[in-house]
Amino acid sequence: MEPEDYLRQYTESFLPPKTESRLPPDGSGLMLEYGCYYPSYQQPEAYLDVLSRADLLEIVRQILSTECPQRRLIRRQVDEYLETLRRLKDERAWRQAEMERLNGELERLNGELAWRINEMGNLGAERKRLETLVLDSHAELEHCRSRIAVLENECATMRATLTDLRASTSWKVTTPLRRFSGAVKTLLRAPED
Amino acid sequence: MANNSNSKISPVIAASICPSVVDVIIPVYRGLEETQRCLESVLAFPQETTYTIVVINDCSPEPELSAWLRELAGTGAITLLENQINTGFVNAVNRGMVLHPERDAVLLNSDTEVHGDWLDRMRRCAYSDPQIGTVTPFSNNATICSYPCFTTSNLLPENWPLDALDKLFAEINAGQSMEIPTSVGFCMYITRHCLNQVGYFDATLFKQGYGEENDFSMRAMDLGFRQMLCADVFVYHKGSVSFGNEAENLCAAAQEKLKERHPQYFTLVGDFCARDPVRILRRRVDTARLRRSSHRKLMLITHRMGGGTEKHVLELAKLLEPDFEVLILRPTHPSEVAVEWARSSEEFMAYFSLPYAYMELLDFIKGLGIFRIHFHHVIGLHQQILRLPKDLGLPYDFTLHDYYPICPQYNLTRKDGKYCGEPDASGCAACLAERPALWGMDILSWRTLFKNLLASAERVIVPSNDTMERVKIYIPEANYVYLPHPEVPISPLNISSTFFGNELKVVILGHLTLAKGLKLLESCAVDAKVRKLPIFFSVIGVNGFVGQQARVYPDLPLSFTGPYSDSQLMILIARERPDIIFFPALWPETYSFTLSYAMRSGLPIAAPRIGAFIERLADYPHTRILDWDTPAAGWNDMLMTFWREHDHDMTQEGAGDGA
Repeated sequence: MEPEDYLRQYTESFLPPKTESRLPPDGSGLMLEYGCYYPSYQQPEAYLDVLSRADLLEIVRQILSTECPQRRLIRRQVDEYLETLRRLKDERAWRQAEMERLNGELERLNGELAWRINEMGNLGAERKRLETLVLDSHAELEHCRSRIAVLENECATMRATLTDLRASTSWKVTTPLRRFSGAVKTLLRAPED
Repeated sequence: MANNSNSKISPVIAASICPSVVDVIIPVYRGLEETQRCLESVLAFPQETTYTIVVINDCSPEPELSAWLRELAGTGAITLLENQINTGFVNAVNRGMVLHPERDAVLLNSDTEVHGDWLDRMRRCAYSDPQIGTVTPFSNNATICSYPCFTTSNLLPENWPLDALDKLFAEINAGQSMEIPTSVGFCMYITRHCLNQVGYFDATLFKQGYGEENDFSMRAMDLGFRQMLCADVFVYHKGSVSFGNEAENLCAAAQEKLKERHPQYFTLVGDFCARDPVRILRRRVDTARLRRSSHRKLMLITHRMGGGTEKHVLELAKLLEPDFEVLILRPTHPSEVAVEWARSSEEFMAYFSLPYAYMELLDFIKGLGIFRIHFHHVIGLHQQILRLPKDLGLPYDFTLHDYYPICPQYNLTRKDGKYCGEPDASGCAACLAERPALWGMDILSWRTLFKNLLASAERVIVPSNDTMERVKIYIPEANYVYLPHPEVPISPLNISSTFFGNELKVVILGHLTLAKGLKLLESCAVDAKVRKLPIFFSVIGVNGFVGQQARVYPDLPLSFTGPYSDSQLMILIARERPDIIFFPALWPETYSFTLSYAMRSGLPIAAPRIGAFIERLADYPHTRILDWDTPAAGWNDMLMTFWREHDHDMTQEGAGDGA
């Protein structure tokens, strides 16, 4: 038959195109991502990664429902299924042991993490205390600085007053009197020395 | 697979080693049109990254190209460096990289085209890890970074221009990257940090190009730098524009040099190609393209045993290709099936272990939006596959290529290859006791299973009425549609026979098995030898199944030419110059593609009175038909009678001409 005739007859019974197909989002599905893109020889036991007891039972159910509806299992097949089950159980046991080991490791790391978090808390408190201390010291320092400034001002005022006093007429007029008075005090003190 | 989807460059890395400006270095030698497209694509899309285009005109022999570059440089769009003499590709690249010794460099071939924020995406990938030295994007022609077919020089996929494809990569593989053993030089981002430590390309060893980026990658790897495939960028690469016909020689020479300098290079790349970890990234895009295709999607289910069924499936897929996306589901081994995208230039395959991944297979088919299933054969498949139409709620067809639904041996033959005569259930049970059916079923369960399957099919396509009549007896409920297989037109050849020779040349076509008449043919040859008949049997094909050790018959007038492809068959027939073509089949063939070739040759045909031969040869001249169980001597007698009649006709014709 000519290809064109075949194609016409082959496709004539197809329904008209659907307007919209219900599509899941691209990239979804664990198996699509990591499983089905590689042939089995490149991904041995890949399906066991997601195998649970429920999965195991489902597999057995599927085997029984698909392969045994009309006949009895022959011994070889029973042995094969048992072997498959044994292998899957071994795999599961190994995974459980690995899971337990990883859980133990996780627990230890969690403990260590808690200790480190506590230690970090202590260090944080200490840091806060020291920061407060530093702030207090800064405040004290500022207070001292302002006190010094006040005293320096006072000192300057006093010096100015003294200079004014010494420059005054009364101070100059009374200079002989103070000298005389000083001499008298010296004479009076002398016999005692 | 790394994920740098939190895309922004790490502030720590950025502050310490990330130069603020990037040089896009484009060495140019030949190809005005390609260079124009390349530069225009780079200039067309604004980037967040500050960059300068540095074009090195390596003394191009095309004056128009040089003039255009100067004109463009005059506008300030590019920085143009001109070599007064041709220094070679690698020197030209090095000159570009030396120009600004504080900047990152992107080496871009002049026969590439980029799209969108390609540079920003590549830069994000480059700074997703301080140990990254180089980054290469996906391309249609980039060896290990090639898409859709790995390590192949592809065209862009049909209906997917560069802009759409790059957008798809950016969406589907957003932020994804993967370590590769070597960067690919057509488009290569090199961090300045890496360049400073590794040095420039080795222009002494790889002056003309090819291999320099592999050498650079190996040196970078020795210093602990990683080479990454940036999976969310796609750059078009035409390839071999500047080097033209020299490319192949340059590539071979570069491989020798690489082998000498980095003996581990080929092991690394070979291992990478064998594992093909990039497949995941390519398949994600393949799946997205399949899902978004506007064509309707059809799934063909077949076996993996080749022969006429495979030929028909492939030809049907080819016929449907313009308007449909065709997927072919086949077994790869007893507990696994593969779904293949049957479109030329696509390599998509997905594998499902059955029965464990049956649900994933259902989800996958639903996700693609398959609208119809067509069973061609289910031998070698897991029984679950028969449930696909029901579980998916899809209409389906079933083409009968043999009698599998009513006979687990598929061709209604006994162990010796002869037609069994279709005995009752007890006869079939005895046959199955000797050769058990697939899935271990008894004959009643088997026929019930297929009765249900065929009765629910929208159409059961039969290539011959004989097939329909035989199967109808067991499954009368099905909707049979007579539709002979489509045949690709075969150009007829003017084949002249050797009737004037000393012996009758009988040609047999195809791979001969017991059911196809291997034993009968051997008996014919023995009989011809014993009775000293001037007959020689020549089989164009092999005996037994392909791959088996072929028997040879040095003492008999019987030879085998060996395996052939369909495209060669007419030429091989013409070369043999046969007098007659003989079909010694012992089972009711449902169609026979080799019979089509025989009929196109116009030569006389001898065939058994069984199966499709009767109706297909009904109107064919020069036909000799005998009962299928005629013994070898009977066939030889018929052949000798035919020869004598024909010889007589030819002699009379010759005498008439002479008169």
